[in-house]
Amino acid sequence: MTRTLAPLVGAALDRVDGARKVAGAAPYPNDVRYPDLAYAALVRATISAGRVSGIETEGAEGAPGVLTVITHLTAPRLSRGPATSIGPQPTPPLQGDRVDYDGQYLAVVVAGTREQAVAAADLVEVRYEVDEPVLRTEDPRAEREENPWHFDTTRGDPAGALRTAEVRVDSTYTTPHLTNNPLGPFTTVARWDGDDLTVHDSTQHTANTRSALAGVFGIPEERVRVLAPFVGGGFGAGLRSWPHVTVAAMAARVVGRPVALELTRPEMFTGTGGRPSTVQRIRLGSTVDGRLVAIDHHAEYPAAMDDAVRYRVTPRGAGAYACPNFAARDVQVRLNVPPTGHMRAPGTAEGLFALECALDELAFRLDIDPVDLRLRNVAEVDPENGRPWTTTGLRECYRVGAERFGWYGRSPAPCSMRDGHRMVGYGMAGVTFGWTMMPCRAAATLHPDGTATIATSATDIGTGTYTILTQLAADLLDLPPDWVRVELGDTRLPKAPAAGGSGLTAAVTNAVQDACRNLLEIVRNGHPRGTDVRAEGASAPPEREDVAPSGAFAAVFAEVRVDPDLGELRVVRLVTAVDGGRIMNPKLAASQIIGGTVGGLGMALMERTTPDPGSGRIMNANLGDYLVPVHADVPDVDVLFVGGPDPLTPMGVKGVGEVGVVGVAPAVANAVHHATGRRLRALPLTVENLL
Amino acid sequence: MKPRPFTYLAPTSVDEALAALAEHSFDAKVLAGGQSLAPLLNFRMASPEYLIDINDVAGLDRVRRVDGGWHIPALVRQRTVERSPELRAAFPLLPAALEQVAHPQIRNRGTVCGSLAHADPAAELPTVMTALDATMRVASVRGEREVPAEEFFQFHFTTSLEDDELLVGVTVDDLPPATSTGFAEFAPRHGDFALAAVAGVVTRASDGAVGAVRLVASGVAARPQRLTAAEKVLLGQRPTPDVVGAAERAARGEVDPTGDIHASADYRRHLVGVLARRVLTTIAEEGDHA
Ligand SMILES: Cc1cc2nc3c(=O)[nH]c(=O)nc-3n(C[C@H](O)[C@H](O)[C@H](O)COP(=O)(O)OP(=O)(O)OC[C@H]3O[C@@H](n4cnc5c(N)ncnc54)[C@H](O)[C@@H]3O)c2cc1C
Repeated sequence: MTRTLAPLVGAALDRVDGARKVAGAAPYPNDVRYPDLAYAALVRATISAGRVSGIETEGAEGAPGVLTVITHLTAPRLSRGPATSIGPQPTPPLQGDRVDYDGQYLAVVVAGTREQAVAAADLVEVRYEVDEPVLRTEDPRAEREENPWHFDTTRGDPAGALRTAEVRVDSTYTTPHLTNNPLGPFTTVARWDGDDLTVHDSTQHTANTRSALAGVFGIPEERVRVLAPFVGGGFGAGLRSWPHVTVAAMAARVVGRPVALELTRPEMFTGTGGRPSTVQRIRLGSTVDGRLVAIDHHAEYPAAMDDAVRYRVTPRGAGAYACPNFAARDVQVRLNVPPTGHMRAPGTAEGLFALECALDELAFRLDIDPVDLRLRNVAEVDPENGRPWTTTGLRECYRVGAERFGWYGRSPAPCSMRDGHRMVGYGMAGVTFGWTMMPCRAAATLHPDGTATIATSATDIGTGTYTILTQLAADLLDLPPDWVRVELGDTRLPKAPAAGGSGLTAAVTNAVQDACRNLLEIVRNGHPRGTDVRAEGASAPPEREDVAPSGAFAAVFAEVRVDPDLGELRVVRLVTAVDGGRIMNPKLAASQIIGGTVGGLGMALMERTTPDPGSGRIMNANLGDYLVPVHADVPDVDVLFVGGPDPLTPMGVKGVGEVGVVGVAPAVANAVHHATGRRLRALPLTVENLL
Repeated sequence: MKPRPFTYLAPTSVDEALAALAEHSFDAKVLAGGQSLAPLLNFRMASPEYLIDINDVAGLDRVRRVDGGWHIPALVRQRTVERSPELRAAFPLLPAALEQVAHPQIRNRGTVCGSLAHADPAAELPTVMTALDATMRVASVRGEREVPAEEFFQFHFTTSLEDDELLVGVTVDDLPPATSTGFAEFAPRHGDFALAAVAGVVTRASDGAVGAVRLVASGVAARPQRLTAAEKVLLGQRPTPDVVGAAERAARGEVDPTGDIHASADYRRHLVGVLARRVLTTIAEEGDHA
């Protein structure tokens, strides 16, 4: 079929779900209501280590409207669901008296209204035997796991090359614990119908919630249905099936009524993961003319006592710089901290902060322009296996970004540019983002009235999946966009992977393309009139020996102003050039990069989940004290896309969900060095460190 | 969260409001713009049995010229003052500070008097009113009284208002001739309460020396703090860079702030010095050109 309508893929179509969202008509999990819905409230641990020696529930049980109070003494025994590609499932809640972190769930109160549940939860009294918590990675009691996920790599002879290198950099960088904080509080509404469980959940991965719950309750997956047609943001917080999801389902089973559990903002800080803090040592060796001869990257980060997620801080292939001698080592340290998770560009954002700052230090040491230094070391092939990249947009990112920014207009010496009494600095960073794609299925149905429905269990967490699939199907089926309906976020639909790892768009567009092709094939071969025609399609990561799949590339350029008396740091301009493969919708893709950039700005300037040093309790578990940038803090963000479709997959999409966040913090930190001559190696870049 | 249930009263005159306050006194809270009170109610940090909404009270929503000054009644919004041409001309300190209070949406609702009655030690308006030596007009069924700003603000979120009293307005006297003012603050994130702020009002004698000075800091004590040591350095002196530098050091030395997760005590002390210097330098330049 040839298209008669103007092509939509690549067009800046408005969000197809925008009007529903603005009108409050899009059903988020916390909008779900059942006639006999009961509400749950959590009781959380107020110590970081120890055990519950007593728990008094009578007061709560007698409070108005209370249906039940469940503690570890009364909770049904649960199992752990199957591990996934991001690691084991979180430890099932309420299974023992051990307390491993402040905020751990110790009881759940279920009542007729949310207010009754919250009020009664206050009446539960917990007694503890308190242990001395392990809160710092330096604590000699902390258990260390070298190479926890077998990602460590060594190529060549990094130690030898460092010893003989003409120029060396040896620096240690730290990044803080961060919390994802999607705007929509995570909510689970669970309902049992005999042994069938239906769950409305704030998840980025319906299939994972389903298999996790099936495992927890020991029931077949087919008996669990997970719905997440709309999710109020995730930033990675919704990649795991967290303990509160299990608590809601358990509570619903105990009271024999549907139960809603909506996390409070403070509970989001301990209950939905986050970016672990890191300490990273980087050693670089180089020739005097700026060829990297050695990269040695060592990272330490905490994991919760009874939990762990598959994680990697040291970037794969060291951010794809050509360097013959390379070592990357990760160490995971067990602490009494809340379970960690995955926050937008997990590991990569922290790892490349260190590496891109170290490269800036090297450029300064060598008196070579930072862009030129990177250009001299671009890996033309995947340094891990020597295969050529499927696409190489990185050079183009540097060129186009630098030009738009006016990079070469800077005077290279630190402290050499001023605006009144403010010091001016330009800084930049390069980004090579890992490639991910998981198997995906989708269905396409043509209805007798000529409209079509696309269906897959994938979620749209605000990124635009509804819209791009509408565009794609409209093109392939030669329909106007409002003749296409997209159904998402339901495990009854064909199985899709997580909205994570920047891999969903590639997976789902290829699957939908396949489904539409199969549908057209059936239509072409003739079909009975007046009935639906349905076809499924699938995509899978291509297995190629000859090329290396390249993820997105980016180059970020930042201009800062520093007030030397106050230490005040303002970012006044940001340019990001991105190679994201085929851009399905430039408006939505730019929104992803802008949003990522704002997240990166938060990481650079203000975000930090701060534990009390003595108790481990998070002191700023609210949006008044955990600072994220407001509009007035965000300067012009100029987004440019370079490159073209990635020949690796039919649709040529690479994914732009995370790449935007990564280079911002190092670009800003490097700009601060250019402005002030001060090398800040700890995030966030606070005023006090700039005095 | 939601507030505890309360009885809502909406008086339409000052007398009615005062009668309601007299009747319910400790059990009641006055609602003006609600920009501080509503969050407190929602978090149940305040749980009054009666809410006395004064927004329908007649005659409290316009600034007016009074003998030798301006009167800002209880329902005048912060944004109104910020944009009033007369007040901008009379007291440049007011718009300079108000532009840094929260965001425009909040200033559209929030009242000047609400901020004063709330008495957050980090807020701009109490500091500015202290620098301007403003007078609070306070009323109850027992009568009216006038309270100078310096006596009005007593402690964190505590004023000299009795439980049955209403702040009906604030009066600011015209500035004497040869008076310059300045305001400076710093907040790492736009719209947040400042880590510290300094407001200054300086009147020069005919020889250019400082004849009168009020220098006040916020964010460093339980109430707006007059920087008396710095004022002493300035009095009788021409505000040369050396004198301003000495005042900066005095200001730094006389404050004793506490640290929190947003800034250390040392940084706040440093900040007060820098902000005082900036305010005084602007004032000095303006005065020298006058
Ligand atoms: C997001 C946000 C950011 C903010 N940032 C800042 C900031 O940077 N700087 C700043 O200074 N403020 C800030 N504020 C507070 C804001 O300025 C408030 O408007 C102000 O503090 C209160 O004024 P209101 O009219 O809203 O008073 P309300 O909230 O109605 O009342 C505040 C208190 O004063 C009492 N009260 C009010 N009027 C009277 C009266 N006439 N007589 C007696 N008692 C009275 C009330 O009973 C209550 O206890 C911020 C507020 C928000 C929501």
